[in-house]
Amino acid sequence: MVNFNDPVILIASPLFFAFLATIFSAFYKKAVKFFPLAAFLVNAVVLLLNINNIINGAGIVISKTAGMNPPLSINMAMDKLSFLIASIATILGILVSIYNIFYIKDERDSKFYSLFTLLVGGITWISVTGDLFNLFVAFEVTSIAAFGLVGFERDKDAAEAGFKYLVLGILAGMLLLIGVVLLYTATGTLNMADIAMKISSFSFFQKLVPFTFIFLGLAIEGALFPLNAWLPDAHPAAPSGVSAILSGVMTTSSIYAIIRVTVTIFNYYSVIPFFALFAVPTLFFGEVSAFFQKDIKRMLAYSTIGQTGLIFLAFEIGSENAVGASFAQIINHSLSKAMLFLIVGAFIQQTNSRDVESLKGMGYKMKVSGAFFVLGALSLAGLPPFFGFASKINILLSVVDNLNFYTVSYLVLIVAMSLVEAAYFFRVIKILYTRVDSENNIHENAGLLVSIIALGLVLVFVSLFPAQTISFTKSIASQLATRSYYIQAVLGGGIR
Amino acid sequence: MIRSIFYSLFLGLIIAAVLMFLVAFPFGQNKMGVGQYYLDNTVKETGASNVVTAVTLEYRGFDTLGEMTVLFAAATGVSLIFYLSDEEKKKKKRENNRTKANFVVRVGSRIIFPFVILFGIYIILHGHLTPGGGFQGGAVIASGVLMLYLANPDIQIGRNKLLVTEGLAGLTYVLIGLAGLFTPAKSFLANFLPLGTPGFILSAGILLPLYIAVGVKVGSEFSGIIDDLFSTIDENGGEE
Repeated sequence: MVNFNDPVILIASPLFFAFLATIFSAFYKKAVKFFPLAAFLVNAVVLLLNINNIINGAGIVISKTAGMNPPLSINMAMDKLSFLIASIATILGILVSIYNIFYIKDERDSKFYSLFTLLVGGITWISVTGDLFNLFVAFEVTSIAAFGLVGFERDKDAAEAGFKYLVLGILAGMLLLIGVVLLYTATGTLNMADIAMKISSFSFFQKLVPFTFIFLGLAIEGALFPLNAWLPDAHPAAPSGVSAILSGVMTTSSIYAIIRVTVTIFNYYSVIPFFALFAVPTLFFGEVSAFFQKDIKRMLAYSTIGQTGLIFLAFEIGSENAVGASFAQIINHSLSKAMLFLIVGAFIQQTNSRDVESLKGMGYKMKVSGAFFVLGALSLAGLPPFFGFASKINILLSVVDNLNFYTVSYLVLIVAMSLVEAAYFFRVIKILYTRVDSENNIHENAGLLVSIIALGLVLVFVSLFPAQTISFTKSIASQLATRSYYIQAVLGGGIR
Repeated sequence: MIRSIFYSLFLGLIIAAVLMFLVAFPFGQNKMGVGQYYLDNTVKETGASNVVTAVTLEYRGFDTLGEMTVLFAAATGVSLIFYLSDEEKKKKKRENNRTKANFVVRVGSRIIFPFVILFGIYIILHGHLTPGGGFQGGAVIASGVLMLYLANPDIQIGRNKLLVTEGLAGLTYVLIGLAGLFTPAKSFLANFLPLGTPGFILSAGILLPLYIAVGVKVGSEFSGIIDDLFSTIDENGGEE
């Protein structure tokens, strides 16, 4: 019997539907808009079949391709962390696919849906692959799909943002490729677990050269501070559904890849403290720049940079609690930021303007969207009773646990940046709920509300069980720390 | 000036770091790990006489699916950005009124075209036996299409037909891969067809159909990109 829980289906299904969309675009365009939804529903079923094994069972699912055992062939290795990223990508994929059906009105939509399927499928691919070169390929698929989607609107902004992203994205891919090639020269293998085993004999400096290339490549994609010039242009220029995916989970998937490479492959704990050099300015400049934005989507994009910095900073602290809290923050940021982008998209569809001031009174005119905007903003800013509070307080607590000269400054920084974040979100909320007496036909789009409400309910659900979610993310962190288990599971081939 | 000095120093630093890393490892000896295994066992395990093909399509066939998808995403992105509706295309064509190449080039290109296609098909079909394969053969086919366009910019290839062949080829690859899940090996892209005798064209199991799919896909995608780019170019050489 076939293993329907095989993680390879998570990748095959989006590719299948993307190719199928191309065929249908030639003679029956109407059907194409449902293809992304179909692809991610298949993925949701595969993930549900795996959930028991991941949470209660072995905690890792291995799948090989071409019938050969790793390291001879490419393998998929889905452990708890991969499962988390893949699940977030799939949930957002399903809901944003529904959103796009009501949002995208363009005769080129069949091509849009192909690329969108590849974008979310590529993020899932990044999270489940167990092969380093395959990771590079997955990054290429994701970012090349993203270039096209960022340029979708074809106006001046979109063209500039798309081109900027194209240049930096290709540079990132090349840096990643050089790093992978150097590692292959040194170890003669591309399998992550096999490299992890062979690299243990390397000295600090032998690790440093390939690591630097791979890290810089991933840091561009993950928008860490000096390398993030593309993000504030690219994320707002894309259609709102795509912005939700780019901000919600694509940057996170690059952070995932950095964590996977640093911990599982390189076992490179000596380099982790230096990550603060990237994380602190990313957090600071992201949040402060967001404060000064007048364009609502640009503000959310800068906020993504800030949140990425916070996630990375929490990971950098390194204790199990801190890493767990950083994954909890990933959950919070992905769900709430994606929801905010979807709501802002619904506003923009009515007002045709990205200016914050144009949102005046929208909270009264579009009551449901406005209410969910408040929900997302409060959770993102880390206010109780939402999940953002639980994840942020856990980050702060883990900092307090590891208090020293440097981490005191983190404490100050995180609290200060939370205040900045709260300030700019409250400013938007105040504008949303300023009464204006103007008679124009602004109304809710019921189709868009479906995904917004569903995403809001997922966020509320997570907020209702903060302790359970945090304990799950802590179990992810503890599994991540025992890399011998990962290596054993992949190369031993015993666990399935 | 200072900037160029800075860049040269930076580049020098990178080159020095890479070289210092590489000198620590012997080159060309039998320490290639999986590489040595591929050299020793490919013919026996896959039935392909061309080891490179066996590696790209069998051992690392999943990467090839990925590379194909990268090309697909790029082609779709190009046609998304450069899209013109049929009316816009006709309008553009009237306005441009491009000069055609002379009679000899136009007729000559039509005579050579079938031979270019034939050569492309030969390269694709013999991918598992000789150097070459789907990507190369597909590029040769697309170069034939490019030649037609250069000789006569006004010709139209059926864009919808290209979309269908492109999609079908991609689907074929994914479906052959998924079929592997139903075989005893229970894994994606498992080689479930008979391996045959190495050296014959009907050998190496799924490698031949996979390379045909890759060839058709690459050929139609490149042709599509050529069509998209040609239809948006203005007469004076600039783009919109």
